[in-house]
Amino acid sequence: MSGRRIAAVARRIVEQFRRDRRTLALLVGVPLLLLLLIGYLFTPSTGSARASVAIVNEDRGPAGAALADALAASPSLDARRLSATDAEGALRDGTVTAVIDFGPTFSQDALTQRRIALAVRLEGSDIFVNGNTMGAIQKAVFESISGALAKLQLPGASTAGISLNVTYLYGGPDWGTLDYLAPVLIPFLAFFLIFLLTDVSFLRERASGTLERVLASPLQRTELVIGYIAGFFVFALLQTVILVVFALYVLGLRSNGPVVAIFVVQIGIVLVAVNLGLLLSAFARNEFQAVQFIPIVILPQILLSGLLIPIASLPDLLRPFAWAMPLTYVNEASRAVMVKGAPLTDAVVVRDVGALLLLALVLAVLASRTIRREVA
Amino acid sequence: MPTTAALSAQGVRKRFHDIDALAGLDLTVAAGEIVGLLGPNGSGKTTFIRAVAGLVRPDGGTIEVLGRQTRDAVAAGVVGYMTQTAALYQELTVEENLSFFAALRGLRDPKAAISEALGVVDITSRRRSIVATLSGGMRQRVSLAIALLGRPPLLLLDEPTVGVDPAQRREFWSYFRTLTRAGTAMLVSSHVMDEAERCDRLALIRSGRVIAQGSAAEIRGRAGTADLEEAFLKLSDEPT
Repeated sequence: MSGRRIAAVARRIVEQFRRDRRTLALLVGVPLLLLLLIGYLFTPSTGSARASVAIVNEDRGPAGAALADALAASPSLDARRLSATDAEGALRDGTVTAVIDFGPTFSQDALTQRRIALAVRLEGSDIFVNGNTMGAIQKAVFESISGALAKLQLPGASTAGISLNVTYLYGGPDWGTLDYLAPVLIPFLAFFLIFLLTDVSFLRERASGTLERVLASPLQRTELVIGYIAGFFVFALLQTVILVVFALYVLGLRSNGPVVAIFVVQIGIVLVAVNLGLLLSAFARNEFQAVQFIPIVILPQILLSGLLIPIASLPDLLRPFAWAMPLTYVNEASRAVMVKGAPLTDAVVVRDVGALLLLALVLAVLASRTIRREVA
Repeated sequence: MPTTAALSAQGVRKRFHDIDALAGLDLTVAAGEIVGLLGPNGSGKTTFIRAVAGLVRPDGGTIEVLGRQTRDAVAAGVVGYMTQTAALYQELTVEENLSFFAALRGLRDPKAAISEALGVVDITSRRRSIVATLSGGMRQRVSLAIALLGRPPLLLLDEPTVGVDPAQRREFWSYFRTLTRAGTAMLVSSHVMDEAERCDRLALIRSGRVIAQGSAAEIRGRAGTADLEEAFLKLSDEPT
């Protein structure tokens, strides 16, 4: 064992990385950026814990109106009073995540059966939104209704006697966690892996000198980019087929939408992934730097795209950034198809897939620009 | 024979950060001529070849290939370029590498062009081998074969015979002569003096400029030395 030899190895490593300024910057910058993002994300802020709900009062007796007023005033809810039809519409278009309904016989039931039952209808397409909404509703009921009940002086009424009858617009209690997560996990996995594959292989093309040779041929830069997209698309499609078939037919996960719509949404996100990989490979000088880009690209997408944290629950400052994340569009479209059963012609699906294709196009143009710039 | 030079470069300048890689380089290569580019490391040989291949945009001066701008010439597929390092797709076979580049060049009869190129570099028997399994010299030959595909009128070879044994090198040069008889122009950078002797004309480059030009005999005469290597060293050291 020689201290000098060990020191030589250690010194060489320090010297190498001292020259690789970009890697050093990433080494320090990436964790700071992510820490800041995650730290901010989990800072408690007002508004984020509130649930947007519609309150419908159809009660023919006095109790419904009083309790609805109390509930609407709850700080846990961002409540609006709507008619039953409007409430259903608001639930469908995503304006509210739940409808709390005081039925026509609410007062009567409370008096005769000594039972207070609120009908809660959840939008239901996002398991995390479901959890947040139910939490907020339970809190509101607990905090607001007991006082209102006491004032009403209903015989035998107490908070303990309140029950929530939950029904779902989409999904439901028979949907497992994975049924809910598959629509966002499948595109996420495809995005991540295809991005990685393109990023590293285009970096290799640059580093090995084959790009130089290719560029010294009649091939145009746009042809190169389109060729790359087409080539990787073969694998992306194969991966998608396997993922979807495995999820639906082997794991037996649920999907309410047409399989073809699932594929179209997937195509949108893998096109973005391929072009993002091509573009970012231009900014990496070596594999190490390329690997460092992964957390920069992936982590904000996990945190801000509605994958795990509902976009409505993001802090106000971060919420606009959700729409800068490609995964946000794919998550919305994929949930629409697989959970809500939206067809390919659904307005949300068309808009989101359109946004992804547009983004892919912009990235492709930028990627072909970077190839040109290197040569100039 | 057309009067247009295959390659005509005038006053080509290129600056990288604070280094003048090319400082007003003038050079012409006629059809059917082999011009050897000699010079110490860092003298600008590779930068010049890359500029002719359309991979470096000069800051000044003009480069014309068969009367066209470099980019147009490259786009028309009239330039064959062999990079200094054997830039090949390691996972593909020899033949797959060649057919890829043949397709990029849009050759009319790619099969025939591939067979001819494979034959010239004598690697036909290894055409189904994966490139990663080949020795360095073999890869160099595959790399040369790619440049030769379809017999482009201008060949740019950046140190083509590094790692190639002398017998094979001789074979290459006899093929190069076959090509030049048919009108091919070649610009070859080299460090190997016996290779330089075979060129029709030599251009000695230093600090991005041609400091001496002529046949091997003329260069030797000018330096007053008996062999080319001595002449090369002497002229390279002379103050400009």
